[in-house]
Amino acid sequence: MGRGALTDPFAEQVHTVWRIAILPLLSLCSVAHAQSAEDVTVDSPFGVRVDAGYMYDNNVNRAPNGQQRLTDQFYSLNASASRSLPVNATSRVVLNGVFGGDMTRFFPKLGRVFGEVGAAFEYRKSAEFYAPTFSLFARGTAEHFGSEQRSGYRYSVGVSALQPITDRIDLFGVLAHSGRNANSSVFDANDNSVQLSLEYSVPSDGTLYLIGEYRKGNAVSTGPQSLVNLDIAQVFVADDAYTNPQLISYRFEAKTVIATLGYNLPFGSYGSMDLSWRWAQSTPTQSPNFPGASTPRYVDNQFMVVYLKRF
Amino acid sequence: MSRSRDIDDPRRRLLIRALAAGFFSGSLATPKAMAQILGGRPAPLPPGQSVYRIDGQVQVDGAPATMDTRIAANSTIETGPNSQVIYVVGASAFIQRSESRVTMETKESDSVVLSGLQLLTGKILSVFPGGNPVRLTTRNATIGIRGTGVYMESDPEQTYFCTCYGVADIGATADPASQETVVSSQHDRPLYILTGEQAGQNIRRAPFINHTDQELMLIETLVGRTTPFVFPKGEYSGPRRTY
Repeated sequence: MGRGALTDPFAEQVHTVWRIAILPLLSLCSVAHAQSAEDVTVDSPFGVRVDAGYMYDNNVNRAPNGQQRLTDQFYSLNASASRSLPVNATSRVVLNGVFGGDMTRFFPKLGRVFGEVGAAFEYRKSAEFYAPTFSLFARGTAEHFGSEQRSGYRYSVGVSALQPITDRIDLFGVLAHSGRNANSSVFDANDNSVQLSLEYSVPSDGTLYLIGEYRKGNAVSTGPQSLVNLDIAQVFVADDAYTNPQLISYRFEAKTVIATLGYNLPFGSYGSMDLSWRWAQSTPTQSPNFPGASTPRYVDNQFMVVYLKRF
Repeated sequence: MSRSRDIDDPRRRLLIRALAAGFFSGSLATPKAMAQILGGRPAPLPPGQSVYRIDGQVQVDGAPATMDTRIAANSTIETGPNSQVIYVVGASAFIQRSESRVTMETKESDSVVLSGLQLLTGKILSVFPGGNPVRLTTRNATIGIRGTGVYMESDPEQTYFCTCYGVADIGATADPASQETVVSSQHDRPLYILTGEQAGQNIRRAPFINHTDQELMLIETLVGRTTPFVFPKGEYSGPRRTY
């Protein structure tokens, strides 16, 4: 198909993501599959995993109320590979790489391609069933959005611990610092977060998980200019992703609470289907500084279906 | 931990299990009911106890099994559909999946030391103590081991065999030319043992399937041991999309 034939932004986005992300992913998968077909070395030394997902987001612009909220749908395809390097009997380094992309249904410039590399140093004192696993991790992500303002890179560093509670329940905790450097300073952001995950292995049937996260730092919302928005904003710019040219993106300090409830069901050989609902609420730490103004709250819901497959 | 995957409706099954455990009938606080639903804290089983957990329908020597059932070194254990049993025999421990039939073998009738295990049909994860050789048999394979952790699946056409760790001498029963010795530190060489292929071609490489290191750690704990490796392989991880 000639590029000149593409006039619909969504079709063009499909073409771009196909060319930049999906074709390389399919090539990667076919190599992994060819390896597995030949003499069945399925548990690849590179641990390639592919996931394809759909997400509905009912407040993609993180607006403070129903009238300003915009919805969108995301289609994602990611491939990841990891490699474990033993250091000694009780510690190892795990290297991880991810490459993928998102397409959006209504706002094509929110689509992106990205690449991520990460490393974690893991320590586990013994093979005792209840021995916790501690990890120091760092990862960096380069991402290119349809929106020039949003393109740039991110990083995250932190510590985590995994503790079995029973033979069906695991507790996973993370302390992390994350940062983002984008082409527009409104999307330059930093935050510190604490996350706790509870995973329940449903007998013979999959994993139910509940994740709670508290995050303190920068948040970004996109909406019409208003006294409240401008008063709490540290930085604001005219946004380049949405179809309404009147919208501005503004960054503010916030406390954010995120909860995710999900279920991962084994599905086919080496595959699983993951269903989840994520709820997030951000509250600015600074209230609007004029009489009669109330502090806005930004609430978002995301519903995700992801198919994961290992090669 | 992801385990076997042959159930149709997980919510229905969980509800049935909860009802069976008395979860909604005032016996909520009983340790057995709680452990049945939320899982237990594995520890070496006390002398005289063989069963760690029963899910669904399980028979031992033809009688329905309970948590108090003793499993001897010459017992036959059968699981029904959507069932699983975790148990200990002497210093060996097992997770036997659904629709499986296992017969233990010992050289002396009153001994708790296993000398053999027959898996005619089904799936079983096993750990054995060092010292005594054990002979494992399926419809088409014979395997000699000593102090290893292994996972087997047996059906009429083929046997799946993973030497999770340790050493195993594996042979196709009907093809003396198909023999292989596997030395494994962590699921290094899973195999299919086939029937009807050319002589010497009845053993093939296989993927790592249907068992986890967390399960191995669980059953080693029941007999007071640990796995030789510290980090589980293939841990569960969801998509973890960032917000």
